[in-house]
Amino acid sequence: MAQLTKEQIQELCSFVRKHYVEHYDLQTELVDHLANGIEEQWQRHPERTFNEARLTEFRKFGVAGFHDVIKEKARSVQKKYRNIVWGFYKDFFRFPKIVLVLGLVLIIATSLVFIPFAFRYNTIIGIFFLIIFILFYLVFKRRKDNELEIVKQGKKWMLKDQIYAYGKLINIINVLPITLNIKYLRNTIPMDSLWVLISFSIVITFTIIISYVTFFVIPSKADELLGKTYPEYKLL
Amino acid sequence: MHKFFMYIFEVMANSKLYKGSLNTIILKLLEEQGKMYGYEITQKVKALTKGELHITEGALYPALHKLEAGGLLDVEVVKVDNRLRKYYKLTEAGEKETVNRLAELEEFIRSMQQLVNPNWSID
Repeated sequence: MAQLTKEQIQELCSFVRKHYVEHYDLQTELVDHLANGIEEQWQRHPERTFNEARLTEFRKFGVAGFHDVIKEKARSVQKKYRNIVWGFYKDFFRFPKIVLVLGLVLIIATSLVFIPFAFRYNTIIGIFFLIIFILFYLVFKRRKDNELEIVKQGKKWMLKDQIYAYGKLINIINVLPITLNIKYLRNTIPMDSLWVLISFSIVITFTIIISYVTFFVIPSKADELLGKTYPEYKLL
Repeated sequence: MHKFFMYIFEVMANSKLYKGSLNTIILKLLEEQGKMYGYEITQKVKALTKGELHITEGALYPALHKLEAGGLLDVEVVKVDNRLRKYYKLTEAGEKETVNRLAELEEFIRSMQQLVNPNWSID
């Protein structure tokens, strides 16, 4: 049976790259798929050239080409990333870490009680802005390292992109202070209620934990996570 | 096995209905075959249905990736003739889910048959 040469495989790699498949995890799979298809065609039509066979195989993906596959893959990887975050996040609600979490809630709640009533609301907004500011600082400071890390070995991996973009967490946290700034909420939330203060402390604590997980825990375990997700990651 | 697929595809071939069952088809195939790679799955379905049903590439890979992200499939990468091949296999959760989905699908087929071909007799 006619088999593709190493050069032809290379050509398929550049072909999928040219069709906007940036990530190695998807490239290998599509290259193997096209290669199998071409080899199968050659069994029935040995006269077909490599380029003809490749085109026939590519057309089977439809008019959008690899677009749908890329889009859906990105979505799946985001889901996978969220599951990973959730896995580490959950860890904070088990003994012994839960003690730390409860302690943090208590400290924040007590501090809020000591702040004069009129300033409480703005303090909370300020805390959220402070968290966002710190996260922005980290993104900026690590930007160069992360960019280099993402293209290390000359290959991009979708999960790695997520890990070093911190799952776009800042965008989500950003919503909190902006929402709190709405006049209606400002006027209706009773800042003298202890339960309101405790609720805010809980939200602040959760925000701190998720920031810690995405900015510190997950990047520190990146290699391990990538190795588990992509068996080929270790083959390189 | 063959009959099972023929039956499903008779009901669903070339219709939008089968789209929703693509995941179940993949799970069932993997349950039977152990591990498979993408191209193999398209070919297997074609062979089993004698070409009646063609799983499009544009639909297969998204389905596989979604199942993988959902923890139902695990991947294994093997180097085969100067390229890397990605095999998919069921995880433990995947095995359980396969049983559920097959039951669901069979139930669906039964109800559809009832609707399409109702038994009007009184007894």
